[in-house]
Amino acid sequence: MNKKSVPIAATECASGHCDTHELRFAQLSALYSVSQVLSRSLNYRETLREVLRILDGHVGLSRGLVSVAEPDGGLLVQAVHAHGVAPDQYESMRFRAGEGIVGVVLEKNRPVVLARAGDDARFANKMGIYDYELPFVAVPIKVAGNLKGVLAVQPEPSTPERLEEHAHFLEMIANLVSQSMQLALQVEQEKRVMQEERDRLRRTVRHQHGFDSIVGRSAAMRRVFEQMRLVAKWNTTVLIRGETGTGKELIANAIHYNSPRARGPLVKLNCASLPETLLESELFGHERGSFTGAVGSRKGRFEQADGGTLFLDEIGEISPAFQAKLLRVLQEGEFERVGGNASIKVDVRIIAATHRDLEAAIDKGDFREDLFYRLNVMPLYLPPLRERPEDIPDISRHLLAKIGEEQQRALTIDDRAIRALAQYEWPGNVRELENCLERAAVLSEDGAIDARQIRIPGRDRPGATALAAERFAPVQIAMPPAPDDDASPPLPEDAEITERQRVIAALQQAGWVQAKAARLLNMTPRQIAYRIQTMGIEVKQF
Amino acid sequence: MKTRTAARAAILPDPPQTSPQEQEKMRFAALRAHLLEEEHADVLRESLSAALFRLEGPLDAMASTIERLRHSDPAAAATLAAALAEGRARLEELRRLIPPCSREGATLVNLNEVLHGVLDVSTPRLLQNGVTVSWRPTAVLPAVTGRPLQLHALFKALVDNAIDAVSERGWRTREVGLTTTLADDCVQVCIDDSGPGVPHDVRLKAFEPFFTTRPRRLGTGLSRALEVACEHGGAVELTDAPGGGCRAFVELPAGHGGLAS
Repeated sequence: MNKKSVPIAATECASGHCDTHELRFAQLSALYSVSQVLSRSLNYRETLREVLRILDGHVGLSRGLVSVAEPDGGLLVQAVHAHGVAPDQYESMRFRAGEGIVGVVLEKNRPVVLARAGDDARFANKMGIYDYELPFVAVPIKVAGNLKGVLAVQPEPSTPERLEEHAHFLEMIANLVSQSMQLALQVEQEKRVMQEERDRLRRTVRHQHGFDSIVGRSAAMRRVFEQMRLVAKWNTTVLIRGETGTGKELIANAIHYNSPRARGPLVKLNCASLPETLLESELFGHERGSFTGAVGSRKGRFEQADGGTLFLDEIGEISPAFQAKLLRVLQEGEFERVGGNASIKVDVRIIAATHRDLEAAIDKGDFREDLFYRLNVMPLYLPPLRERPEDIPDISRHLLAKIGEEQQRALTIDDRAIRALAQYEWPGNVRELENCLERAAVLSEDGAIDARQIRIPGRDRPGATALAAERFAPVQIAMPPAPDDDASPPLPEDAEITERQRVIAALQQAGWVQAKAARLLNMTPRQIAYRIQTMGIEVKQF
Repeated sequence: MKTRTAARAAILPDPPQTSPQEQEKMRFAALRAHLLEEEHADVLRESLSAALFRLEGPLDAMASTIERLRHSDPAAAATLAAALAEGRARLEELRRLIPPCSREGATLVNLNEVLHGVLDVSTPRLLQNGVTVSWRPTAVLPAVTGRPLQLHALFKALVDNAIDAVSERGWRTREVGLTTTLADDCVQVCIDDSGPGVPHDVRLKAFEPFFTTRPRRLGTGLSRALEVACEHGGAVELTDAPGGGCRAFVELPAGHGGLAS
């Protein structure tokens, strides 16, 4: 457009008629351009800068400035357009309430027009971009009558009437800008609140999952800590191996929150919890219409974990067909959504965990050897509780503090009770110990736990144990307990004991891990699950 | 301030009769020497333990193979097992060579002071490379529970990286900015440089031991920094600095929230 002609025409044409005509034309074309810019959804500061640039180019209103009112009455500079000023040079500069002419506009809530900027004592020129010889026009930006900011420019020198016209035109522009400014500020504000909230939550979670969230002073555990500390730094896949209930998830948490990915997401999935078909769409996501009921496309856990860690629990339970799919992701770092064609690349660190003997599974052909070697780059072995009885006192106190927090009362445990705990084998490991302590805490009226409340499965009469567990009745156990024998307590096989009691006893011995109880009874997990259902056995969830 | 003077006092015997400036200079030189020594020990410790850890990977793979061979080929398994035991013993020997961590006590530390100390120590390098520093501390900052020397090493590593980034031959804008802020109950430190920035795909990898983009560097700085931050219950992240370049963002919980005893 005719950039320079407007200001020149304004000074040359003396009659005033063609002059006004020219100006109207220029203003109209400026309005048109501004409306175009506003309808494009640019970054909001860029939009403002573009508007100021149009005002300068089309109507000769130079040195534009937009500032936004802050809650304390000050003004925050949002956009500046002036020769030789970098786009973000003055952004985030502030005017205090009432400071400079801009501050006056904000206070009085009406336009200010100066024939010569330098003539007014209030003119601050804080940024040093203004020409003292030029006029100065500033108008308020209002949203629904509320003052939201100030728009200011410097026109070429001209008559007072002409300056009033400029002010009038500027008010139009301010009205156009206000709505989009308001929206953008709101979105920005909400985004900031959400981010702060997210960061705060992440900090809280990080506090809970440091290395110190894992208790243990035994040599075996110290070795695990050292390995964790080192493994956290590398981006390689980690395989956590250990019996059920040894705290594999805790380890995965600690590794994530002590890695460079700590501020990224930690996504978890238990591979045994979903049927194969669902597992695939859960991990890789799916596109709309890829199967019946897939009404929208969805991000899988891999995508959710981008820039963070994906924890795959019970990795030993997936089928060979799925193992092949997983192997491909591990090798290439790429996958497709179910029903999708585009390859998706993610930066995810994988922590897998299993309680299964994968080497045996490979021999039987249940687990792919190539996947095993991919996963087993950095194995971490978690020792079972029976191999580190010296940690039992510390862990018990730690768990009691946790349980006490849940129950909102102080719980104490005496030495005899601790000794009783330390003598047991704990096939269900820490999870079983926690369960046992929780039961003891419930049984203790005053929060003090002694040996009477500690009921250890298999230590007393087997049949009675099973029945007692059902009724949640305390059982007096004779102290001191019998010396440790290596074999785990035998399962009751007497004919008089019903099938139901047998299942309960096995579950107890297995720390309520169904798969383990099934092995004890020589059943398949499906069989035991069926019995639990039909016999109405109440399963304790941990 | 207390901790720093304490450190100096511990290093230096009573100075002879000299002017206060002279004394200050000598103390400062002693502090630098001490820190340098610490840094060397740290680098050695870090690189040895990381290398040992890396070597364990293949040994673990071997152990898995042996486990599987036991049934099919017991003789080969036994030979391999012997070799494995030998290898493990060697690694154990090496592990004993790792210099022990100096068990520095935890005190209340003002991060502004730590950063100021880091800048003091880095002054010669900053001058030599013509780097301008803008230092924008938040005046009143709650203290952080921590080990002062470790925290010093953490920020020293990050400032060193920033200086490296802007000191490339021919690089024009050589600015390093340090800011401290308070967010909720965390102290946040930003170390910004005007260098070329760190590409997205190496921002996480950069924390791995031995990762470096510069010749004759071991690449243990960031991995050590991460570890110190984690030990103090905090985090380190590499992001974009406002004017391009790289920002190292450190967050440490204020007060007694952090350090695991």
